[in-house]
Amino acid sequence: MRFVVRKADFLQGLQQVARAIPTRTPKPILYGVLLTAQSDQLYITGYDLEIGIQMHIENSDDNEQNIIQIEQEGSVVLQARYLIDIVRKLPHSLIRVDSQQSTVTIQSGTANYQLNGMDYREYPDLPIVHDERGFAVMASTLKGLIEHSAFAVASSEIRPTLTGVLWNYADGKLTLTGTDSHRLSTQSTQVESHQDYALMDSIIPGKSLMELSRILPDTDQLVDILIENNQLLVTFLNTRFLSRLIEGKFPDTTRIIPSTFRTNIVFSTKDLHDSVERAALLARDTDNNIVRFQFRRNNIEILSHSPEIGKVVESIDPITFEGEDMMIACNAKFMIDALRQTPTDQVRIELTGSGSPFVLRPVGLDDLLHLILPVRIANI
Amino acid sequence: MNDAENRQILHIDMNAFYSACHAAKDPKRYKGVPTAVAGNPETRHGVIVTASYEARARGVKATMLVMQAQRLCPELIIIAPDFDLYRAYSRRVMQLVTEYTPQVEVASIDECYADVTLSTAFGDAQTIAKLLQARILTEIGLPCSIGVANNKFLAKMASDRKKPLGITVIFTKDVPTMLWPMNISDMFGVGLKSSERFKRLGIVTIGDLAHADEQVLYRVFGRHALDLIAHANGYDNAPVLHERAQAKSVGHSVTLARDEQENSRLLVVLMNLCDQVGRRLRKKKLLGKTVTITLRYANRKTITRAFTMPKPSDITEDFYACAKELVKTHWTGQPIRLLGVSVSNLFTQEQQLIDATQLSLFDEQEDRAPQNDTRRQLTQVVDQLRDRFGEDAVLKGRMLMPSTSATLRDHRARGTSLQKDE
Repeated sequence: MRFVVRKADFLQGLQQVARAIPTRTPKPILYGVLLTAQSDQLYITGYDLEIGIQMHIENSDDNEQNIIQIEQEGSVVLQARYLIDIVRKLPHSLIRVDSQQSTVTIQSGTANYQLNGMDYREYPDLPIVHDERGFAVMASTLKGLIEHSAFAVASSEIRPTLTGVLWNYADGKLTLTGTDSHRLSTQSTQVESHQDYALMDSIIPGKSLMELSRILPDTDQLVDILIENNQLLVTFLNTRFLSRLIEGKFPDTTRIIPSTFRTNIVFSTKDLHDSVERAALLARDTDNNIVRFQFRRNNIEILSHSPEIGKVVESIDPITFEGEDMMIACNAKFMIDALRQTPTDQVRIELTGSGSPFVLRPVGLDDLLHLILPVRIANI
Repeated sequence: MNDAENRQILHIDMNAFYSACHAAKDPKRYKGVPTAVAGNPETRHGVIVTASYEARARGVKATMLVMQAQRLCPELIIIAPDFDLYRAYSRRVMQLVTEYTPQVEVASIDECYADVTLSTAFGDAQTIAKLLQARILTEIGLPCSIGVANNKFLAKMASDRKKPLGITVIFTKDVPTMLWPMNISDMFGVGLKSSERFKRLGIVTIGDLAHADEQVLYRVFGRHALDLIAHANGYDNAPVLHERAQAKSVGHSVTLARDEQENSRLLVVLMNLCDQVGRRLRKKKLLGKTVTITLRYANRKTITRAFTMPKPSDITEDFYACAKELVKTHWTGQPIRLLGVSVSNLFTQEQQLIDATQLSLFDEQEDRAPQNDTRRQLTQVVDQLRDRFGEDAVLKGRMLMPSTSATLRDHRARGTSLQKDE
């Protein structure tokens, strides 16, 4: 295998793919990145058996400058960590890679590395997903969907399905829902789909989606999504992103979200977020991070106390207040997380009682909501 | 330091306390004769805990086996321990001491420290010591020795000086003549193990320790060595703590009547231990998070293993579940001589923000709140019944199985000097 590539493109590809390189694995070959030179294209692949990322570099028609030049086809696996550091520091803007048997020569300007390659035949194949079109979403929209739902998934493996985000597709609408059973966040969006495309409800690991959202561009470029053969395949630009699905049944969340409320208060998102964060400074040591909210028409207070440290009272003015007075206690972290994933300037809190779930909705954005279960305190 | 060294501290140490209590309660039977308080040899608790001075004159000592003691003194009267009696007498003594100063630190069932620096209305420290000793003897009928000093360590060393009925004064200036010639193993705070290690370093007397190199000892013994060197020089600035610090753990252990290998019988013991640990925790209004078991095998090899629960609890069943699991995981199956359960990582009920339960969307088994309420109510009712009608009034089925550990519920027979909370 022999090729010449522009440093900037090569480095960018390697860095993207590095997200699928495991930090610890019993299979040493997975520490490697697979390079394949094939008919005018260079493929770069990383795969930790959970997620797989594949990039390719090719010459585009509208770019007269050649950014890749394949001189001899072939494949090799190189230690990702070393390769990325080396490429980043190479002196010239062009890099020549030459692999003969198991020795790989990397040359750029005055620098000449000879690295020990690994046998590409030992590298596991990426799962096969047929590249038919499923449905398409704008990259920035998908990024938002993931960020607004994946933070709420469970971190413990007690119920494996809850470590994933439920993808539900119905009537041209894609809905992502994440919950750890104490809080739930969900957002939907209209998508373009091929006719008669049917998506089974699928659970995709929260961790995979976090990685996906990091490499998704913040543009309105369309992203193709397909779920098939127990894999999620997301294709955009020159990148293919694959993730395994979580098997099992996601709990039914449709009836959980309350539809009527007794109290409904609108706040400035930032003011509420900052107030809760201040109150939470005293709650961080207690097991449930508890802050209490006293929602009164003429006076809203956020309180927290820790027997050893002390206590705090914070008052906050609402923008509007409808309904009856209400008191509620909840884990401050849930509240802060939800407010961070509220992209609008104003947020509406809807409550039904101190022992019932309450809802946070961004004002003016109907398809996103965060639901939080309170902490029941006997002497509230 | 200057202020601290001008204090007036008494250490009141009851003489042959357990034997003396019996003699005070029943002088016709027990006064002036050789007696010894000892457990039942049949259940392997046959060790002398306390011997009267008449018995000590015949060579009977604490920690001796009953059989040995009877060989030395055939007319020795063996008395079964009655901790309720000791606790009652102890409380009367401490009450009397509090008449002279509010600053009384109860160190164990038979000794206390009293800071009488500000009690000048009654006279100086020595006068108060004489008054106290006389009143405890005549009004309660118990002999004690009192050490008078300017700090706790010296007071403790002083009370040890003359028994019974001694009053000894040691001030920091007396240390070179009175303490330095003494053997290091007689110093308060130096146990058998460390006295051996001191001797290996050439430190034989308290005087040797007073002049030892701090750096060297610090490396061998750590922080504790610095305190010991200060003590050996007659300095100790520890205050007399009126209120005892909150307990760090609550536990019980029991030596079994015979080495036990049978799982079901061990579980009976475990249940009885957890039952009493739970009872004591709830009486103290505490909750605990960490459950520790102690296993001592027939060959005396002893291990402890701990498990920390996600939430603090004061429910016997929670402790039992943890203890049972720990035994299941760590017990090698070899015969067991002693079994213990203790609960640490304690919280007061206020600290626990009473009943804060994170509600849950769909975890049927995780959201056990209603069940918790029932268990708590049940526990409360059972506790009330037992407070009123005795520990045996309501028992779990498993606790009906015959077992030596059932005696744990007999508070008269059960007791360590550490258990002072009732």
